[in-house]
Amino acid sequence: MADVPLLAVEDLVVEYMTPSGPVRAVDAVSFVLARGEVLGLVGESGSGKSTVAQALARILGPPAMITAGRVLFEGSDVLAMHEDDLRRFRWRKMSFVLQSAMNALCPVLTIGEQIIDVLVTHERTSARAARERAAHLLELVGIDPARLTSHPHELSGGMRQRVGIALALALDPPLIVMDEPTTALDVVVQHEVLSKIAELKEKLGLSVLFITHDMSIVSQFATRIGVLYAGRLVEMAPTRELFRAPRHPYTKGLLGSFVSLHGPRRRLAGIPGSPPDLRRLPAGCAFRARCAEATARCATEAPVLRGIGEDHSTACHLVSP
Amino acid sequence: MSEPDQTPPLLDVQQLGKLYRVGGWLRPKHLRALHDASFTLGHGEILALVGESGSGKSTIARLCVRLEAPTSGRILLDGRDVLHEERGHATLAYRRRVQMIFQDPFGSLNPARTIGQHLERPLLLHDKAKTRADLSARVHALLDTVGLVPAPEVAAKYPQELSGGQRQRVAIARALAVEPDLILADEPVSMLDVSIRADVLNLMLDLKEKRGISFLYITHDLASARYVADRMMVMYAGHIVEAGPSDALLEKPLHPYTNLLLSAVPELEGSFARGLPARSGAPALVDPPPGCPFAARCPDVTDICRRETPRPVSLDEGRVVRCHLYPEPSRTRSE
Repeated sequence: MADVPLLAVEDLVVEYMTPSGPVRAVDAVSFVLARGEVLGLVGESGSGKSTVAQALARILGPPAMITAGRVLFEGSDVLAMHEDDLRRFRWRKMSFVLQSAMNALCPVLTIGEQIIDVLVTHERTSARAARERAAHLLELVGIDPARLTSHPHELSGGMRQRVGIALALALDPPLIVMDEPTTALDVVVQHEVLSKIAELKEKLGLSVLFITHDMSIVSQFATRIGVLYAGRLVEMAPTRELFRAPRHPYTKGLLGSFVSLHGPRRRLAGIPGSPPDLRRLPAGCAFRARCAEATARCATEAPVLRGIGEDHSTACHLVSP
Repeated sequence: MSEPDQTPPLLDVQQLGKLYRVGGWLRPKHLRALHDASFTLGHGEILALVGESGSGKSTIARLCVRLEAPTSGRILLDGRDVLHEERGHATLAYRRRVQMIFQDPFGSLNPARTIGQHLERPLLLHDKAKTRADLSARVHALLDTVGLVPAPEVAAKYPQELSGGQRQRVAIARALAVEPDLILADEPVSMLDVSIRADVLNLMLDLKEKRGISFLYITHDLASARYVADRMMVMYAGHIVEAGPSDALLEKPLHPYTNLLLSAVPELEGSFARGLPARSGAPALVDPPPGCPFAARCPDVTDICRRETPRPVSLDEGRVVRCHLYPEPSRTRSE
């Protein structure tokens, strides 16, 4: 059991069934997340990052369908799980904090009632034990337990988002999937929520899959980062390595699109063009049309992700190991 | 006071204030969205207005484009008091000079109209084209300007056929149709993907450099503000708390709130371990107490901060700060 990774995703394919045929939103994505690790998945809109997240616990609804691959959690395949097992798996083994978590709270119930509801539904605990646990959870995320009797509208957005994190922690799951957990927040509040997540990761030994469009956020506490483009992983490397020596032209372009607060002002290059339409993906590499270095081979043959160094892999014909 | 040879700035906003009436009919309360805001914007200048949600930055834009009337204060365009001269809504003449771009490029275009039709409308409304051929030539020229090529092909498309970045360029082209002097851009890139933002920001810089168009760039993102803007202003709770040249302001922030905002910005490979100089918290906007709006959170707060609202103080190098830490100098310098 010791050498089985916490989460292993193998060749995951998710397709959206549309009237004009299936659209492949996630295409053969594979990665491993070790215990205690924070893995960042970075991508722009339409890159498939949220679809990957939702596929992991099978919370995707139609028209999305997982059409191939395996999701191994502690060695057992989530995709093959029976509905009853799945219900016990979600929240207890893998929980979610979404961008909209702060708006997912029920407006007519108090914060305490909502946390206790989760505890009582999933675990046979007494009302009193549940209340104590709920108070402890609020303390963990830095909210005064007196707030248990508050309603969601009495809390600020940042506090509600932290209640979302407390809910995700309620059943002590080994893995939390966070999908843009701070995107809707102002920067000061965002900083507070992120430092709370970083602190909890240390304190509780959490494993986190952190999904975001913002490299600067994930760079601060992810151990490794995977970059998604048009449903495929195009590069994966330890965080430092990815920033020092990005190899895929898309990763380079993305890092070059960031404006900095300090240092010399240089004209930003950005990346020309826009992401491809997944309904009409061209043959070959999906990034080809925006890539300055594309060759004839890129137009015909889709590159596959392969290792190019220690723990560093990329999907690009131009990169030699 | 009177300096006849000096040309007035393009936009001169003086002590602008906006209160909204909220609450019940019997016990009305007032939400102070904007208080005593003064600034100028020159020809061919980009001025950034930075603040968090609820800070009043969009209120300034709405007042300047005259979607709403201020509760107090004046707006001068080329030295002329526009609120006094034209009561009520902005006239065509005003809109010909001041245009606005909104945050959401998906909501600001009509899905039933082609891109060409979107651009024809302001041209016709403002009498910018005489003949049918002239009209389509102008539409194509606008699309060329914002880099949407081939123009005839793009003109025939519908908004939903374009990406977010392309739609935002259409919105900019539409604003350019009337050949304005000033464009108010309210978070024009915050809904766009990172790789596409650079394009739109660069387009703003090009329009400034090549056509001398001025922008009021409204954003929550300090880094992009520094990238495009010569000067920036920081807003908190309806107050402009600090203003100055972008680089100087970011190198050495004067106001404690600016300092807080700067330390919270995530930077590539920074760390969340470093603490913030102050906590988050929402200021009271409805019937606010006297004193500095940041007093409740300020690490450097003193007694006077809770009693008196600080007034803007001008310092060297074009910097202005609104904080009791910087006492008002005795009137020695003439400006």
